[in-house]
Amino acid sequence: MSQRDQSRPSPVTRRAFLKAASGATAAAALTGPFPASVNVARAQSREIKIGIVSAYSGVFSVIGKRSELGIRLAFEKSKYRDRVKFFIEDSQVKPDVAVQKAQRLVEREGVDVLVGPVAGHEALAVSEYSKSKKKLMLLVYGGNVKIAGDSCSRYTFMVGHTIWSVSVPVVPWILETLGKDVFLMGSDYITGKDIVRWMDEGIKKGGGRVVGTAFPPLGNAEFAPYIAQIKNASPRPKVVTGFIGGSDLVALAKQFDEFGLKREGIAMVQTIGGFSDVQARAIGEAGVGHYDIIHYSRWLSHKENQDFLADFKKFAPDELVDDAHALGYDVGTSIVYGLDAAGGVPDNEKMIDAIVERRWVGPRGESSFGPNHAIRHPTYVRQIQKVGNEYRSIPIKPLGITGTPGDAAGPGGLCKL
Amino acid sequence: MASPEVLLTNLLYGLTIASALVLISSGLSLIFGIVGVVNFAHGSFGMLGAYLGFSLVMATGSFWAALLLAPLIVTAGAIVMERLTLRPLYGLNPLYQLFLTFALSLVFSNLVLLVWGGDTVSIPTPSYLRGFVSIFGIAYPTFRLFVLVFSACLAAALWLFIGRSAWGAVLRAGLHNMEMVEAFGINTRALVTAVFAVGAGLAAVAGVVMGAMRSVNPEMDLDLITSALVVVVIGGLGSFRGAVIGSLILGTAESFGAQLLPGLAKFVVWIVMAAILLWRPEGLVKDA
Repeated sequence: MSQRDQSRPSPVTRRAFLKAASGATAAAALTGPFPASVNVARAQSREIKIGIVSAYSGVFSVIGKRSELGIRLAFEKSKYRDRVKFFIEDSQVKPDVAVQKAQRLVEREGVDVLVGPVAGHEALAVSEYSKSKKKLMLLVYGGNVKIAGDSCSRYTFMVGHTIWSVSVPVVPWILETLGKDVFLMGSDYITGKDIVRWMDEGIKKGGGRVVGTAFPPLGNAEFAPYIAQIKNASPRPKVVTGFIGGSDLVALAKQFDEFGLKREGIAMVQTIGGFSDVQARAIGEAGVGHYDIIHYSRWLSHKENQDFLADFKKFAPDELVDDAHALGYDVGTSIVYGLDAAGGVPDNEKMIDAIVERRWVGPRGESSFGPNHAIRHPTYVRQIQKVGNEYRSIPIKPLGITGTPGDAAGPGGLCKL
Repeated sequence: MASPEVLLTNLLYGLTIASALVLISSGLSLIFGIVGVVNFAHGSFGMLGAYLGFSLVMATGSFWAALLLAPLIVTAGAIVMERLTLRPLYGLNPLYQLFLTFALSLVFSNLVLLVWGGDTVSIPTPSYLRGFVSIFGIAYPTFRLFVLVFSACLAAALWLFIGRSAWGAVLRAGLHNMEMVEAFGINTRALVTAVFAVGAGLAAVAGVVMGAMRSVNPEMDLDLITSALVVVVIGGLGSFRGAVIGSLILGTAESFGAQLLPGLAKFVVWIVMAAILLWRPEGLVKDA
């Protein structure tokens, strides 16, 4: 360690003075009284800084990395490919860390646009921060209905979905196609509880009957006791639906088959795209025939998805494309769209005014934003099917375009922008 | 009031949960008894066993190859880990060993993410172990019955080994007084390594069967170590018999808890643990 007295300012030498003076002169020359057009041209060629606060550690790290690739592909295909610079931060799926990282990106790195975190609670926290800083933020996931409701923000766009938009719209299809007697099962935390509550209301309104409800703890891997509850429900349900999170669902689907519920003809419908191709592969034969609801599948045949898949194949040949890639791509193209509308300058206010009007056909299909900045996306019922030796989650029924209402009766309350 | 059929169903489910828990917790208990280390990386041995089992099934198409080879690989790794990292810390403050095993568990977590990614997978079961058998008129999955019988046989073999064999006598003596065992000229270093390796191997076996019944994911180490710690605390630290009894209590509490107190399933387990600790703070069983 240096022995110099750190409490005193160091004396200004002649060399240091000349260095500082010449630097200041050069800076003045660069920002001097040039015509406005020159300044605009300079702004249009400067670096565009995108700050991504997402999950890069733990089990959600897969989502963070995949969605980042989608964003990068969108920029790779844009005219900003040489101007963009990404700043990546790990939110650790903790709201306090996510806000701290967002602060770092905005206040230290000076990013132009934020891409927000994965989980609903941290997305809400960072949305509040971006609102306070008037910094544009786009969410890949983070489907907290509050952000589409009473905590909505001019500066936040929910590009992925809300937990409402990829759950409740499946209820009429369930009642019409699979049966009226429904057993509801949700992981025992806010998302599982909300979805079960909304579905319970929808089922009763639609003339169905809820024959039982169970809330296994999040992180549960042993469903035998809950399967006993389904078996003991009277009348025996035709459908088991709700939301069981992540790896828990693999265990549930395997045990659902193991204990004979599938063989009895009881259908399983998961929400929020529980049965992705990756999950279908993990479950294997036990999953064949189960359904879920989501907005994307790599097996969608429309041209924009096929183009997206072809581009991804070139961009990242080893990636098995799923919804995280597609949502990241929609986030990326929305930022690019905003930049185009703002003349290539990351002027957040102009970008926001443009993005809210955006109508596009992306990998998911026709998409746009509601007045509360929540995405309106196409929604599909998918079913796990075995094709050759592969287990695929294939869209079998489009449910139309789904948004998340931001009115007083909406799931997240009234949105006032 | 639940019907006898419901009660029997839950009892069977509880026994299956218990049988898998015996494998994971008996290793942890023995390691603590002999080595004196609360091995936080014990859940990682289970997780590594499960992931290796998955890869082996994918490569060979044989569940049995996975059940045999994955534990052997984990056992070999555990021997290396014990010799290189834990051994230099014996005799020092036990906190060092605690921190070390905790750090190693983080290393293993990241290793799994690096090699297998964060996606959930599961181990396919042999086709002839799918289907049902009838137990008192209740259709019970064949694979679960296999896990129950297999775990019971392993536990019985271990019980007999500890209770009847000459090495078992050394092990029991070591649980009481390691210095005395050393004074008799027995190589206690080899004994410690052997117990550590067997414990890790049992955890890996548990990982493979649980990976087939449930799923394999990068967070399962935490689930395994938490359950194993509860079992060991209930049963008594360092006791194999305690691990068996603790597993039976925890398995049935979890099963009946979910049925009778649906919203409090996991909570019931902690209530049971707290009650047992208040009644017998040293755990239910003291000896090996």
